[in-house]
Amino acid sequence: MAQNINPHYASSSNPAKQNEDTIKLNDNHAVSKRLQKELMELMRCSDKGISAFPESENLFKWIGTIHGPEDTVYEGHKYKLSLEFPNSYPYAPPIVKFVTPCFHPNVDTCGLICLDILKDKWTALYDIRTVLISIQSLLGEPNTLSPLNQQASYLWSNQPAYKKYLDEFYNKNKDS
Amino acid sequence: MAKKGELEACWSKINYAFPILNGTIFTECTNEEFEDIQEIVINLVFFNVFDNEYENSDMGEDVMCSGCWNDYSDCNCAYIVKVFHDTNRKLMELQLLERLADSQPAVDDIKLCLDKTDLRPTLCKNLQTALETRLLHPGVNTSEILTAYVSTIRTLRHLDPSGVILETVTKPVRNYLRNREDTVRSVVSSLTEDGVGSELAEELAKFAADGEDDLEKEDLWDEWNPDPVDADPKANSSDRKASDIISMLVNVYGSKELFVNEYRTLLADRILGQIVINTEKEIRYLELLKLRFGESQLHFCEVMLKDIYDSKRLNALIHQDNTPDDSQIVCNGKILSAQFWPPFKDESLELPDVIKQLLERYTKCFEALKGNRTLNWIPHLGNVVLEIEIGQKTLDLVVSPFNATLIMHFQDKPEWSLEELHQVMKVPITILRRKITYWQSMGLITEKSADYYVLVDGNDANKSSVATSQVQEMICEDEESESVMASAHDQREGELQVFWSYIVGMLTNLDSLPLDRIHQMLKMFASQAPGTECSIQELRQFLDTKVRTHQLVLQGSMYKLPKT
Repeated sequence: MAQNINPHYASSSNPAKQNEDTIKLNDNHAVSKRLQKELMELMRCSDKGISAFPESENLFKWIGTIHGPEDTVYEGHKYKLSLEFPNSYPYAPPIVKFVTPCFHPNVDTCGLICLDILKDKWTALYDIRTVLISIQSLLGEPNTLSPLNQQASYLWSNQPAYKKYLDEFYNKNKDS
Repeated sequence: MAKKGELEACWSKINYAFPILNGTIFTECTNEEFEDIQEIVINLVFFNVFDNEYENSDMGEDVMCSGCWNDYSDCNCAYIVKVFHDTNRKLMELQLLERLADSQPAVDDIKLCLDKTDLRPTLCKNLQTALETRLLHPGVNTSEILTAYVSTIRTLRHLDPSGVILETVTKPVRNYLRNREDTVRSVVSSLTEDGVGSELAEELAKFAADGEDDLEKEDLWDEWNPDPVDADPKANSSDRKASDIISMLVNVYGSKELFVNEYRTLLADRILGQIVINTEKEIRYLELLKLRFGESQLHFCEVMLKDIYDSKRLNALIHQDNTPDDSQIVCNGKILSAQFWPPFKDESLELPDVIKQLLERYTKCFEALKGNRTLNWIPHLGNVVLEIEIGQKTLDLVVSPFNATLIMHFQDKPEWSLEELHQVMKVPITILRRKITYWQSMGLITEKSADYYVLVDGNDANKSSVATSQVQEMICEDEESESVMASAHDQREGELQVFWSYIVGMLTNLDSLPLDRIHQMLKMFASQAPGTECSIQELRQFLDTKVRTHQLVLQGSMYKLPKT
């Protein structure tokens, strides 16, 4: 994936990895700049149901909030996520986890998410907004073929039962 | 009353003891005043002056006076104190503070007294109270307060070159001015208006003239004096001395930007409000201001003036190409570089078709001249020179495009209802109702029945003039001179609105935050957004309004979003 290669590294003809520290430093600046821009964009658009903001002064750690999409069993639920950006962002995907426990076929008990665009399908063209939107739509349309949570995967076909279990689970865990 | 002989003895004693009395106070008096004052002083000498420790102590003893270190028999202190109080009182009565030119001798007296007595605190307190009772209440115009403030600065500068008294005395004035909304506007307009009473404009020119004196001051090290004891030790004494009248006014707010912004708005108003603009004069002022506020701050204003200058040339060029045609309406455009102008008030106005065609032609010419650039008209700005002929009456008027449009519609059809006008002009009915009063006051339109207006025929204009006199009263005077700029307040509101989306984002994700954290976060992440810095007080005010409108919840010291 050519897009996922930092042009800095790609173009450096010197195989002896010319002093990595400076590159890292420069990059760090570029990454903050990109994150800052994404934040501005996010604040400007203010899409419904998704939101994110840096956790503290550290621009590389964000907290995100997703409202369950309408007309799905997740409607009315609110999930918090943590987003961590590597120094190589946006050439590497952010690490996204559910903080609020989420009962879902593609989310494991630790909150890890199985989503292609967060792994091999990631490109530098994605940003925080698209990631959050993807996760939001994943809630309503799980991929039951490669489940992380077997129980949820089995239960998914029986929507009323799933809904009942999910609501109990959510109410029990939403404040944790 | 004392006997004549005693009086004379006393008077000679005063003369002997205190030559200042002869030297200055009485030199500027008429004979009558001289006698009056003489009598006052003598009475006071008898009944009050010695009514203090010096008098009460035993004069016979050979003791030193603690004030002047002379023997009591030679002590002048009592006189000095007396003269001080006396002059001080006169100072208040004669409004000496406000008229230095007339009261110089009295101020000189006080100056002499101050050196010899420890009455500085009393003087400060008296002056402060005088200023507070006379100036600092809602009944006084801001411009008057400013005039008084300026002359107070002058007088006290003269009285006490170190500036300490000035600082103490004018502190309440400064605090008060800070709370007045129109202070900045008043200062800026008096800075730039010429003619009588614009002391500030003179001051500005003076600053430009004696800007080069700085080097000389460096050589005066051997004339250095320590600050008086009541000086604020934190403040730099050279700052205190150096600050002139204008910088003292600017310092009321502590920010140049505010003044520069206000100047920009005023300049924009002036430029757009006049048909013929004296660019040279404006440029001169701008140069003067530049000397004071710095080049970069006033760059925008420079562009604005250049816009006007360029527009003049362009208009000449366009008129040269287009021989005046049948329409007989001459259109002069003012081409503004929107980036550099303050935001305009947003108003809608649908111009008559004739005018629209005219503007379209103008745009075509502009496009032909300027390659791939075009014009975006702002219909509600500018001026229209009208000549109205009605019956035997002819009126020459300069009105806003709004009023011109209004009357032009009546040209086609003499009777309109508000609703119809609303349809053609695309302007809210309430505004229409307000604006139409202008023509009512001119006696051209009357309200026949509710919300139904008719053109007054020239012949029965006389009849209606009685009825319209009432209307005239109800029109606001400033209707025509209303500013077209969005007010600074509105602008600020808009800027804070940008922060609001950040605050919502913050609170959705981080639940609840205290004020200082929000402030810190905004500083970190929202500083690139348009709108300058936001102080923590301002933020608190802003958040409080949000709490009041139930968009926020304040719990303890934490702000939260309300649960939906």
